Amino acid sequence: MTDDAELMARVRAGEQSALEILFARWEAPVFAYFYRLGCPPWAVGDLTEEALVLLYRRRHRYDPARPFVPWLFGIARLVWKEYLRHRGREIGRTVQIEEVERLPSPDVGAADAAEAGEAVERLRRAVDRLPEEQRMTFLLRHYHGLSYEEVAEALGVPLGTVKWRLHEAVRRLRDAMAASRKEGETR
Amino acid sequence: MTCAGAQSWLVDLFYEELGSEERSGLQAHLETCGHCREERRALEALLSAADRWTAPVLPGGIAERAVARVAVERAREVAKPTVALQHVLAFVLAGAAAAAVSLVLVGSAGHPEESPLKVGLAGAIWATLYGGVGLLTQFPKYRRMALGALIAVGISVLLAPVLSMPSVVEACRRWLETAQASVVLNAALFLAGTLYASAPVFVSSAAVTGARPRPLLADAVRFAGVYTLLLGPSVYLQCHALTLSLAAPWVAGILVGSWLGSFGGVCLGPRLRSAAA
Repeated sequence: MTDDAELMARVRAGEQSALEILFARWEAPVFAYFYRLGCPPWAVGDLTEEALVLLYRRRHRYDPARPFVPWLFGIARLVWKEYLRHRGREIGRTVQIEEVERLPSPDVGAADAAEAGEAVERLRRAVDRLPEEQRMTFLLRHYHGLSYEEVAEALGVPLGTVKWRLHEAVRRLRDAMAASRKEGETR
Repeated sequence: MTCAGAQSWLVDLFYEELGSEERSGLQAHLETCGHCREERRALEALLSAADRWTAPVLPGGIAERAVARVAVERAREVAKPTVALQHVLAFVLAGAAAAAVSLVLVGSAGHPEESPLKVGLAGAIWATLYGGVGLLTQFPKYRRMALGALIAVGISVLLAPVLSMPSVVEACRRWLETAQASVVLNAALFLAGTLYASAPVFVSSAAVTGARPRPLLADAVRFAGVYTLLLGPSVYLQCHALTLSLAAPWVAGILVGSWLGSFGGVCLGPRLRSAAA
């Protein structure tokens, strides 16, 4: 598989096919990132598209000597911040709400579905309640496999801050999960 | 190792961010500490639930839409004109040459007692205006307007020796056989100024306006504005020696004439051309 940095070099040289490969490769991770960040379902696709276009617009700012993935998620972070700033104004509704409600989830075994679904739902709610920066840190490390250094680069913060945020996020998630489990048991 | 230290490292252990020494220290602690093992199990349960939180299946078309948007941006980037330094220099020289010719034409129609400083200043302003508007022709958005304004002002300047302001004043005075200023003389000067400006502006704006004009008002406003700006030095050189009561109706006539000519040309130009075709 062609390296992302090499693809970026080709994108900068104006090669259309490199851009298509890069977009096709990264649309799903960026989509999943916005989805887990708590983006409204109807806007996830639009934000993903926006991030990909911004990737192109900022192509000359990419430093090939540095890893691509943190740079990409740094762009996604900018798009997310911009979205939060203009939350009142909808970026666009190319995917309608009803359509998103019908978005299929990957297959989960029927027997495990209820139990797994409950825990996942608790986790989702707990992640939603995390402070913004802690949520981003957790998602980038856990779901996108970025190292602490890469998370620090993507979020533009020192390494120590990333460690602290991740520890704090995990602690909060664990507390929230335990509290909601107890709540469920007492009902 | 204390329990607090061990627990703070548990997260790093799961994310494989511990050095070998720290990892073995932590594992040794976990073997002896039931409380920390319980903490590890809780963390395992949490991260296992996190692993099961999958994103929805990606709806189709996102990357394709992004590629299409980039294609549009690329097309715009290609269409965006780049003005090289030699272009700028060429327009500066052309502007200076046009200003020199204009000064000769208008100067021959103006007042011979004008001071060289005033003439030089007017020439420098004129050269800058000509060069700047000439440079605008390099931008597709302004090309028609800039070209039209240059043509119109060219006609006006060519008309200056035969229809100069002092000669118009004299002609009006003789025709009316009246005093220095009167309502009728002012009206005649206003009318002469209107005709002087409106005719070239109408001809050039009609000639350069496309078959499908953009919003009428914006086009006409730009056209008339640039034309009056370009004509400014000529008006100054012809009128500065006259009294305000004589110069004002002429200048007002030029302003009104340029607006009328511009609206007329932008409005009627495409129709006249399609009727002729």
